[in-house]
Amino acid sequence: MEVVSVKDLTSTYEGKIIHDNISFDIEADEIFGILGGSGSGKSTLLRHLILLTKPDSGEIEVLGNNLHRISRKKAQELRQKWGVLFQFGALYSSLNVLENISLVLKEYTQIDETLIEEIARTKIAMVGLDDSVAFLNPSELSGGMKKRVALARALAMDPTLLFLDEPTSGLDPKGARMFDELLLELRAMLNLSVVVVTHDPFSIDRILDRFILLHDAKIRFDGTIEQFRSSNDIIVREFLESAHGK
Amino acid sequence: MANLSISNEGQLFLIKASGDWSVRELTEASLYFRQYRILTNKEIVFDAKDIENIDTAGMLLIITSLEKLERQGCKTRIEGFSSKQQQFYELVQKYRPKESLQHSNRRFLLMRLYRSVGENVVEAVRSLFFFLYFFGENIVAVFYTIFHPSTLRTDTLFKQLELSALRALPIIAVTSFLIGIVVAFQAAVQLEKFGANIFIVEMLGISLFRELSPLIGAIVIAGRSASAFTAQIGVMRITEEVDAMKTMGFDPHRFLVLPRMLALVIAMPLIVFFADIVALGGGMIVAYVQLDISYTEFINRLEHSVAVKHFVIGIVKAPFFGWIIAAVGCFRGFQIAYNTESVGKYTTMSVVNAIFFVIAFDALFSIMLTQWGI
Repeated sequence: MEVVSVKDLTSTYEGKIIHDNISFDIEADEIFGILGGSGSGKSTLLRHLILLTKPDSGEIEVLGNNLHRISRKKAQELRQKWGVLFQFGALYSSLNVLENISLVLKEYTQIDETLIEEIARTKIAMVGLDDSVAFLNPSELSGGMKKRVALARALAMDPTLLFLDEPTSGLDPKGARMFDELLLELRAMLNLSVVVVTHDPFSIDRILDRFILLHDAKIRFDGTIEQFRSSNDIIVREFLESAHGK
Repeated sequence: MANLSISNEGQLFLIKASGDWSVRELTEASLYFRQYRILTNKEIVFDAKDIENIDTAGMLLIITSLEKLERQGCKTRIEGFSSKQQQFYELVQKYRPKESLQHSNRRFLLMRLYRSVGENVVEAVRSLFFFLYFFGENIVAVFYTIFHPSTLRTDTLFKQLELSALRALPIIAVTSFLIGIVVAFQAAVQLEKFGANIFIVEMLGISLFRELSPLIGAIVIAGRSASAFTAQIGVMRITEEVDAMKTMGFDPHRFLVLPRMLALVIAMPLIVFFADIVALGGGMIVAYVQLDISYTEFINRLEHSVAVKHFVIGIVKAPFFGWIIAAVGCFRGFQIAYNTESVGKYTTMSVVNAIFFVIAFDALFSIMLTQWGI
């Protein structure tokens, strides 16, 4: 079953074509990568998928909802079923860590406060943070901790679909690898489907089940890492070699 | 929806759970659990066989509720989890918090008050020291520029003159014109009663030239430029542009502060002069419409009976206002820390401080001049 399905998507930015008739599917329970060089439209594509911007044409279906014709109510429901991790965390700066994570639970459920706190603290532990961060403000956190808190916030409602925008960028190598392992562990335990925008070669090797490579507004490659390695396409080879610094 | 039902055979109670135990569906179940408060010292079996779907929230609800029952002396046991659910149960057990969280004492009003007073005092003292530091650096930059005039950033200066002064003229014109009209109307009503119509000229000339135009001009510029300076410099600090400038040997004071300060010091007297004329124009129209004083009569009387010193005093105050606004605006900008929240905080502070110091300085100046009999 597909969780995301994109058909003939075209989008432009100030007259420049960003995506030219691209189509791809993302299956349930897989970690799916969106790859490409800087400015290849990875983030734009992600923004289309999470209902922040609309493409010029084409159909996008997320968890069975057609984003082009979605009603306001359906869209609200859909937003509760996914979690989004932004590149720099995008934690709400006026709320502390615990409040950042509990916010959606307080808004969308009638669970009592103590259970909400319990859930939020469980998520803090799941992303590998200590309880002592609970009352810190986002400005008191390091970059890596911010990302972890942001991941905990994205996981607050146990979403079925998780969108990650460059989750390991700006982390030290050890932190980045730990983040990858964490993601694999969470995927195994929470039945997540994950969509990742990344350039990190190690993450590509380690966590992605399948991915697409965007190049010149088209999808240059769509498949698994094994297929990717054996590809003879010149652009694919170039991307692969530069990613591994050879 | 998560559902619960309970039945018993003697001392053995069977709680049967069914339905969807995901986070949005838990309301009913948590209410049921609350009713089980009355169960003490019983043996309880929790049957999870009919649970169709469960997530972290549902699992935690079950775990914490059964724990509460244990504390009431019950013996509890969970049955019927599928192997996957059992794995998930162990996982949640592993990650769930073991002890309750120590909420810090910010909950108590008195402590909060105490704490916030302390924080504010420390913040104020720190701000004062930082301002002295800023002021010192500023003086150094001024003297350096006086001795090396060619290092003045003239292009930034002209850009600031355009942005902070020229572009402010429309709003200055509208506000001053309206102030002129308002003051003239109020005066006209009173003066008419005494038949002292013609004194509206002195009334307007002195109050507008001496106090109102400089103040209105300064307040509008404080609102526009102090906030702009703070936000501009603050954002440059957040994006590390200020640090980049320092590493290249570009003193932020000479590159950022001085051009802005000089721009306002030069522009403020001109703005006040402009405001004088427009406000007086508004007053003249009211005098003509309301009191039948012709424009020629008004101007002639203005020339003869309003001393030039009133006009000069207004203009002389203006550069000081300009300096205050620019200094406060830039200073607050440099206080912005590396997070987005402080942009809003210091920008607000900057406008409030700038307007306050302009008015305070004006009051001081008025008292001094009165003492000296000018």
